[in-house]
Parts: sequence; C-alpha cells; structure tokens
Amino acid sequence: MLLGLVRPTSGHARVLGQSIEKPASYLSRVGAMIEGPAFYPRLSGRKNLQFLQRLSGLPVKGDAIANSLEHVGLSGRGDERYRGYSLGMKQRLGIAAALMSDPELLILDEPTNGLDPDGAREIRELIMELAARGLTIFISSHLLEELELMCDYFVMIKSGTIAFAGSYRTLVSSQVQTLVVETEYEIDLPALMRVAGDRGISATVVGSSLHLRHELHPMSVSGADFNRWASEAGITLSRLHIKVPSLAEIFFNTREESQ
Amino acid sequence: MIKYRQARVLLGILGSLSFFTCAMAFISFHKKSAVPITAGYELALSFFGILVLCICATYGAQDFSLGTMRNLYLRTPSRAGIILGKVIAATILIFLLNAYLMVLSLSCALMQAQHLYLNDSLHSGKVLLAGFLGSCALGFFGTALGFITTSPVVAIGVGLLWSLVIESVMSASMKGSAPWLPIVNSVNLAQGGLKNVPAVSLTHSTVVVLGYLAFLFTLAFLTFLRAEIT
Repeated sequence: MLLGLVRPTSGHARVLGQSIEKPASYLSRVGAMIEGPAFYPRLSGRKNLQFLQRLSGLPVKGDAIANSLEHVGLSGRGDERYRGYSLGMKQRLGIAAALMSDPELLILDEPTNGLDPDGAREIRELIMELAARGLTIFISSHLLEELELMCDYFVMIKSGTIAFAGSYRTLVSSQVQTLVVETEYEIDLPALMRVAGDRGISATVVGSSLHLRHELHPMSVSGADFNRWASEAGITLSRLHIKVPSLAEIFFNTREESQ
Repeated sequence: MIKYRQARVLLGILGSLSFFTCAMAFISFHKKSAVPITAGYELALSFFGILVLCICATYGAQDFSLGTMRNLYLRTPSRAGIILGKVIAATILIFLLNAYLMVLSLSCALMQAQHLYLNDSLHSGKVLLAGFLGSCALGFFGTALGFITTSPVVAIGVGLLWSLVIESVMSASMKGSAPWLPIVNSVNLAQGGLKNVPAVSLTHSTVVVLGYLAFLFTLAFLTFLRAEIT
C-alpha cells in the first residue's frame, strides 16, 4: 500500500511527506524490493539494472551500476544471466536495483526470507552498513530473530492495529525481565525461593534453575544484591544471569495481552 | 522482446512465418497467370494475424507471470502509461514482423510468378497498409487479453479459442453474426475488405474493430487499475 501496488480500502498514510494516494509524488525517492526480487531471467544482472535505469528515466551510467553491484558483492557476477543466480545473489541484485536511484527511503519486504544462514548474514550486514550511512530502511519481516539483530525501531501490528511503536530500548525496558539463578546444589533451590519470597520477589523453579520476577516493576533487584542475599543465607550460586525476553517472546506476550 | 532474450522463440516465429509465407506464395503463384503481386501476402495474413495475437498476448501478460510488473510500476507509476507502453511496443513489433512478411512474400512472388501484374501501386500500397492495420488490431486484442488475464497461457488460450472456434461456430450457426465479430472484421480489415466477408465494407470493419478494441482496453485498464501488483 505504501508503494501503490495495492490500493487501501480505507485509512491514510504518508511517505516522505506525501499521501499514499499519490504514489507518483514520492516513488522516485524510494527504493524497494517487495516479495522477493524479480528480473528477466535471460538478461545478466548488469543488463537488468541497465534496463531498470532506463525505465526510471535515469541516464544509463556504467559507473553507477558497477558501484551498485560492488556494493552488494556481485561485481564479479554481474555479467552472468540472472537465471543462474542463487537465491542470495538474487536478493542482493534486488537490493542493488533498489539502491540505484540513490533513494531517501529503502523498503524491503522479507529481505532474508529463504536464505541460508550465510546468505542471511550477508544481507543483514549489508542492511546495517547502509543504515550506518544514514539511509532510512523500512523492513517488513516475520523473522523476528533477524529483526532483533538489525532494527532499532519497531512497529508491531496485531489484527490491523498497532500494538507497539517505538525504539527497541523502549520495547525491552517495558518488559518484565527475569533473573535466572542456579545453585551449586539443587537441594538449595527451596531455600533460595524463601530468600526471594522474604524480599517480595516472585520466584518460579524452572528445571534446575530459579526464575525471579519482580511483580510490580521491571527487574529492580540487581544480580549482585541477590548473590549477596544468597551468600548470607549460606547458598552458593553456580550461575546467575538476566534473561531479556526475545523479540519473539515479547511479540507473543503482547498478543496475549491484547486478546 | 529484447529484454526477454528469447532467441529460440524469435527464430521459431520467423521460421514458421517463413514457411507459411512461402507455402502461400506457392499456392498463389505456381502455374497461375495474371496474379496480383500481393496475393501471397494477403493469403499469409490470416496465419500472421493469429501468430501476432498469440505473441502480443504472451508479452502483454509475461511481466505479470515473471513478477517484473512490480519493477515497471515502481519506476513508471502510471498504470495507463504501462498499458500504453505495451501497445507501442506491440505496434513496433508488428511493424517489423509485417515488414519481414511483406519482403519475403514479395520476394517469393517475384521468384515464382510467371505473369505477375502490379495492377496499381496504390492498390498494393493499400493492401500493405490494410495488412499492417489489421495485424495491429489482432495484436492489440492479444495485448488487452494479456492484461485482463495476466497469464500468457490463459491469454493465448482465450484468444485462440475465440478466434478459431467460437467465431467459427457463431458465424455458422447465427445467421448474420459474422459482420459483427471482432476477429472476422480484423481479418477483413487486414485483407483489404475484399475477400473475407462479402458486403462488409472496410469502414464497417474498422468501426467494429475499434469498438471492440475500445471495450477490451477499457476492461484491461479497469482490471489493471484495481489489480494488486504482486
């Protein structure tokens, strides 16, 4: 809808200050790769980019295309036919095409979908490099682990409404964190629960560890404090760490809360 | 066609066109006298028209099947502009193929005919122009079908079914229907209005063809306007 490929039935939105009812007013400033790359199979990567450059009304500059290919790591494969590319190479060519017009905004839909771990890492590093240069990148993805590694601003949509919109730091700090503690001897777990309970901290035994949550506030007791309390009670801890909920856990928790 | 780089398809088109043209020239001129020089060309136009319909249906729909329509729209965000671009491309392609057909046909005529006559250059010029316009009509039908169906296979199937089967059945079973059918009139237009449908003028065929084209392209535009480009 933001790119005019699908017409909205209702609602409003703006891209680069322009209404989405008039996509022609901003599309020249936007680069996009939607639902995977699509190019002409029998043309080389380079010729595909040349075709798109002509279509955009831009002068066909060999340097610009060469730079785009080099930027995405395809400089040595640009003259091979597109149909011979791997999925990762196709994704990279799609990003190269999106970058060719030097956009102000880059929109990527599932950029790492279907890629093996190496390919996903390459795309991720490319995206982060582009972001570090100041380019605004809008990513739509269901791979929450990937988004967690790349993004610093999130919008979660549940049933057509915005469940959360904000920075990653805000998202995480609004969650209840858990202090995970393991004792040297498992028989000490009940005693450790009493230590937590005496200080108003909710504790749950999970396997061989104790998970501690503060009911009213995000985790306010430090690991050092709890280590000290356990020591005073004669309990030796073998492991202690703060478990920050993953983006996936936050997503499911948010969905349950909204239901 | 350049962007699809389908050399074998192009060779196949030219090969079949060449074979059919030479065959029609042989039928038209072998051991015959006083035959207009354009006789083979006129005879070959019927096959050429169907070929052009299939080619334009394919290229009208192929960007949808490849997924490259997204690229076209993001860089030329005018849906009407995209349709117009396809029509212009089809016109150029039809012109080039028509020129090839014409040159081949006239060459065969010169080689085979014993008593050719060029009754008048105007007639030959009119025949060639009518052939080009009639071919364009059939090609545009194919392009519109490509946009409406968004599938090359379906577009070709509908085009062939309509032109080879449905119109034949309608012409045979519904008396008086032939002068109002789009493909019949397109072929009539292509062949100069002289042979196909008796008592149907070129003007009538032109109006009927333009009417159908206006309807189909309106349908194609409205379909494309509302379509999700995915």
